[in-house]
Amino acid sequence: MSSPPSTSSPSSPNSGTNSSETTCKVCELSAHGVHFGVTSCRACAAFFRRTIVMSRTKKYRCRGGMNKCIVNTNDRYQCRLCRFNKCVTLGMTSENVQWNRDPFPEGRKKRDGRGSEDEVDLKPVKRPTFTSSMLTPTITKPKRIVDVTLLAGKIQKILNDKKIPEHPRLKKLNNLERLELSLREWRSKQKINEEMEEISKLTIEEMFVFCEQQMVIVATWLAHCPYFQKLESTLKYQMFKVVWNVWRRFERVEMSVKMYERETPGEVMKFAISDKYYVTPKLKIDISKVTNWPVPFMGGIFRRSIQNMFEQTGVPLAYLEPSSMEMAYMLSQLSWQLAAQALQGKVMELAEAQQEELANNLHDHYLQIKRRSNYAGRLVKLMSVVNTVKKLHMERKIAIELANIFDFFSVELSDPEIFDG
Amino acid sequence: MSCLVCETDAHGQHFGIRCCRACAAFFRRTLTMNLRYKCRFDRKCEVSFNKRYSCRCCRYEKCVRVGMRKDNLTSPVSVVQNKSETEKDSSGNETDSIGHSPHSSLESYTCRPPSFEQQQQNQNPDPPLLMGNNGTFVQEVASDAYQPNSDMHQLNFSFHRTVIEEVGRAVMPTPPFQQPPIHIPQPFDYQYTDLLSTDEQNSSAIPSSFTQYNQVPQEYNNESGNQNQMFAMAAQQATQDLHVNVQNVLTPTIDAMFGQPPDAFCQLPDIPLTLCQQALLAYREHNKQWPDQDKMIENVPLDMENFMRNHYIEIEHIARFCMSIRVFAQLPKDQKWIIFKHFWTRFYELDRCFATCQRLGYNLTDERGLTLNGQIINFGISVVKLENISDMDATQVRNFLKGSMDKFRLIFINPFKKLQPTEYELMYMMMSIMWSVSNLPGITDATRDISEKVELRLAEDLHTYYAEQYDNNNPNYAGRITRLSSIASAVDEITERKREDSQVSKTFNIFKNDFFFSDLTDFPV
Repeated sequence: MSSPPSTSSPSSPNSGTNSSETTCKVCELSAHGVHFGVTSCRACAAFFRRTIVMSRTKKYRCRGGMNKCIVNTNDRYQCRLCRFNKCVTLGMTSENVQWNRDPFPEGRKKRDGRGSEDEVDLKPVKRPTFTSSMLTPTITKPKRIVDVTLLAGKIQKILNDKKIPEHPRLKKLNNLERLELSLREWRSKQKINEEMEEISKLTIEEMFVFCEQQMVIVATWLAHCPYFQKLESTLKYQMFKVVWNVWRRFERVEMSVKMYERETPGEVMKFAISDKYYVTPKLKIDISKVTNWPVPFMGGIFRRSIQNMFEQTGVPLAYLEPSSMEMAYMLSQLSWQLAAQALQGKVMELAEAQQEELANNLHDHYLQIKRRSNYAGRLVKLMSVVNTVKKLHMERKIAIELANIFDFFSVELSDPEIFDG
Repeated sequence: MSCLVCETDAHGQHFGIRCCRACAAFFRRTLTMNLRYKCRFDRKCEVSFNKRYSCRCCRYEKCVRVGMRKDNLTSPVSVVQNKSETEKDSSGNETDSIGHSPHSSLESYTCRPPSFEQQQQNQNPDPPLLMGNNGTFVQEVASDAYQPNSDMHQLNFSFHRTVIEEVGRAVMPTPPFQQPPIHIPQPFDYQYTDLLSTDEQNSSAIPSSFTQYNQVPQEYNNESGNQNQMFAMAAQQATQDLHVNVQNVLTPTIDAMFGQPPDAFCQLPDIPLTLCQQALLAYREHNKQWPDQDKMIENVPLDMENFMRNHYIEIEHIARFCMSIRVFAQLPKDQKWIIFKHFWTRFYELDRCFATCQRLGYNLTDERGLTLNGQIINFGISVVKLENISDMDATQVRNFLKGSMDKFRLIFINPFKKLQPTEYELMYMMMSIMWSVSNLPGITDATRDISEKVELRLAEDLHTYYAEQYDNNNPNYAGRITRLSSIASAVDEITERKREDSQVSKTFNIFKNDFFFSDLTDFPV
């Protein structure tokens, strides 16, 4: 049989100029400059960058199977592994790859092998400008740790001292009378008005000495309470931390009103900061050792707490002139209400029993000692003062929380809660 | 760029070499069907363009000779696996070649060219001639048998190529149609959720993305969804209108009430009454406005919208209560407003706590509360309808208010239940709170003097009450006075806490309306 005449296959297209400066060294098409260190066309450059950015090197497989595929004008897309290997062999490096240029969406599959797509010239994309504005790192001073372990031990020793509530002179006294006796012992040391000295400047160390002295007083006063002795050691110390600072401020304000405000109403108030010294609103406290913030800013926050207490409770206290027994009653109500609210549980149970017994003791005191049967008005006013002090205490706690949040203090205590009140 | 087998244009890599789709299909078909070919000549046929179909035996041998490998082929049973593998490799060419074969195979068997029968007729005279040669009978018969098949395949291959290209073009635009099957389950999931939804879940808005798919399968669901949305929008609009109307009406109403002369609301008998006794009469008159309190409805979800509406009405009743107190009624109007804004929230708390204890007992572990219309709320497990009050769900709102509720119970409700105050003592606390005005901004000195005198009278009356009317005529009332003062102070504290919650809720847009009624209180703006 005669076969039909054969026709030759179509010839390959012309590969263009063979100049090394204008020919892509990878696929032998026209080059568009140096990309990644090699004279190449935009298609091969994009292929190389795409491979690097999308980490496709390990996914490529040689479709010929022998890693020797020919990469030239019309066959560059036949095998991606051989094409990439040729790029690397010719010297393309990944150092200059821009990782966030022309980002590829996730899940999108790129389809290779379309000659017409590869021959389209890619227009150059404008490079994005990065404006890096880093915050200057704040170099903060390392916080000093003040060790109050010795002080805490001293306080706990007083709180757990069995001899205090078992003193012989307390046997015949009821609950309220014991507290009144302890309060009177501390107040009897108070010097008279003429003997008091003024302090116009105060450092933190000196302030701390005053606080330490008054902590001992509050601890002793608490230890005189029979219901306080029913608490376990840990709860005793926790209640002390909740109570001591507000007790101190209220007691000192009442003493100051007693000493000064009755004689000179309306004048500049004086504050009996201890049994020997008094201060005025002009007091200057050097707090540079405990804070990095400007002094007037810090002083204004905490100075107000004493002035507020003077303004809101000074007039009622001057009018009422509470006796030592009534003052002990108010301090006890204030302390146990705050402790019950803060600690709850066992402390709350004892607080209720304590308040009930103290109220009965106060009733007996009014009937027998004061010969006063209608004490409702007076008691209402006393409790009003207690409620005011409690409210001011809550406001001060909020201020202290804010101070801690914004890192006002450059000092840390080994027992942080002791100054939270 | 040409097929290594038949020298025509190649279509990529197949079986390891560059070849056209026709040769690739031929090679795969030979292996898959385990076909064997015989060459009618001496296995030296030329395989090239227009001649690749002349001899299949030589074509197959050339495929093997130029490097086609068998290991890339899988059996027809595992075609699905092969597709998944190719998708992992993201190789378009392999997908195309595999995708074409079913279509081309189907077309080749169903569509036959019209010239096929003519060729068969032309070949009919040949068999009798071959029968005469006894020596080559078997061989010649085999050759004749192959001849018609060869002609058929010639035409079939030509048709095969065209069909492949057309099918390939048709297969390309399929991606847009692939999305509907993926999203079809969506509305069904939504329906499932709808069936199991509770009142709390209904409060959330329907996502707009679901509405699109909800329309496709069932028209009925779409209609129902639209109706629900319309109802929700109407209810929300009604709630907002209620809020605005109440604010526009309530303040003028109270203002007009405060402008009345002192004797307009004071219906007092001729016997002189103490302040607490006046308050007691006014309080009982106030309680008559809410007769449903005794019903004690339980286990019904709390309707927050209805709750707030009753709250608005109650504010007006509290204003009427204040005007029933002669000392209050004699004050100037601006002073009345200052005291009222400070007083009514605290009145509400004391009244609700007292009403709850009167009807539900003094058990400390009981977390229930009583609303104005007699509905019982269990603050621990109550289900609240919030769809028109807040964009958050009920759990989030409850968590937001939990801190206040815990403090509320600790410093107010529990001490109240332990003390078990009488109605007179309740009035004392209310009057004590009403006239503790020394620190309020805007209070004049005249009002301050009045309040101080009133407080003195209150204490004297309390002593008289304890000495003469209280149970057992117990003169030892120091404990009760102490605790009454603490409870009155606690009401101030929880009102302060409510003010903070009001500010936080405004900052984070928790409630759509003024949930805390801050316009009518002394909360700072």
